[in-house]
Amino acid sequence: MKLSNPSLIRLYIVPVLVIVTIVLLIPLVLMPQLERIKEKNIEVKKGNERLEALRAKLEKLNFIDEGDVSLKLLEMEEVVPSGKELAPLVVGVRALAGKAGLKVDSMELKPGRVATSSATSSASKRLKSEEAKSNTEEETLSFLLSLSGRGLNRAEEFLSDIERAKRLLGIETIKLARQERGEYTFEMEIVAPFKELESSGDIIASPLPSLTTELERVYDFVTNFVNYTNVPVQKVDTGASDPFR
Amino acid sequence: MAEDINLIPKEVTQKEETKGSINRTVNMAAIISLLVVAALLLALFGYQFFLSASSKRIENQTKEAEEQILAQSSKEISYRALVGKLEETSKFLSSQLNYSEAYGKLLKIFKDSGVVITDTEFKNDGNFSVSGDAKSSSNFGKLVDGLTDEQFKEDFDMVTLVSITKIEGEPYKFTVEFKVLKKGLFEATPSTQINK
Repeated sequence: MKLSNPSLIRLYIVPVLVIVTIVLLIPLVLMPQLERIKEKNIEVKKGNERLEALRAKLEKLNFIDEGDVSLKLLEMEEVVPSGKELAPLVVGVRALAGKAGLKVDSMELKPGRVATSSATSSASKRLKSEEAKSNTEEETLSFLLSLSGRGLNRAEEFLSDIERAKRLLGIETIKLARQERGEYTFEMEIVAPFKELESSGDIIASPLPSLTTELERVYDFVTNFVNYTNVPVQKVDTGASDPFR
Repeated sequence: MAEDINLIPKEVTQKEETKGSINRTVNMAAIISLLVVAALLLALFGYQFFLSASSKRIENQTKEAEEQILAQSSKEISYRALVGKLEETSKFLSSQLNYSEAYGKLLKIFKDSGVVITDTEFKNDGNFSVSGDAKSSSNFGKLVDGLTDEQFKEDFDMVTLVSITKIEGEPYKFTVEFKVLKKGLFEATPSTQINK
């Protein structure tokens, strides 16, 4: 007996409809749903990681003694200040030289980063290309110091003092030349680091740096240094005819 | 009462039954497939709902943690600044030559050898150049011996005579170069020494 067309349709209507439904469901519902789940999963994973980082940071923050940190920071501000602060530096270096019995012949400061608006605009392109320079170079004040004095031992004392001075002072080069009658001149390129506050990116979730035992030893070491730059220097308004009066 | 008589041939009946059975099986399979797909979709929706709930929960907890961290922002700023300054200090101290120690040893060697220093150039990379006057070759010999002495082997290296000249009636004029090995003002360790 041969089946007619309507009976054939009746026979296969259910599986055909099911196949069509499934075929339509896959691209229209299933795939987008999988994509959404994938995105959500990534979002949850990232959120979880951030939450863990925040919790770890919070735990660490709770252990920090704010008073102790503030006191240490005040001490370290004398060692590595946040700004260039030239005047106390000049006074400090003169005091160091005077202590060693050396005369300051000249002091030539190398200009650092520009600050005025006109200078900033003209230097902005140059600054971009200089961004690759190391932090050490950017956060270091450099100056040439010319000293003179009798004998070589005085320079040794000066060098010894400068290595144990706060703010921190380092020597890049020393040129020594003998003059008449046992007099020597010492030309030194001296660098003084400073450290500005940094803030970038997701600062809330960024982990706290560790205050390692090595850094604590550094702290104990430098706090014994002698401060030659803690001399108050009177400030005058811009345009004063004689700023030293 | 007469029984119904099935006049359809047995073979045809069997064929019809088989066809009906296949039809039912196919329909059943299709419905099961549909149910499986529906279950899968439900599971996916359920999982998405779970993820959304998790995301919301994490978001709330994150917000709470952020607020607690922000409440301690001044402490964090101070702490970061302190560590930053200490790291800068550590880096700076380890990059500096111990000039006073090297200079003191150098002065002793020159004093012992009776040689007079006239010009020097010391660089923080450890390269030292010293020019001086030696009254005699013996003085100059003592200087070389001093610089290459065993007791200073951890201080100076690569001692090189750049030039030496002698004009009658005048002392020997010489220039020597050498490398200062010890680097770091804060407890110099072997790792902070300049590579030879």
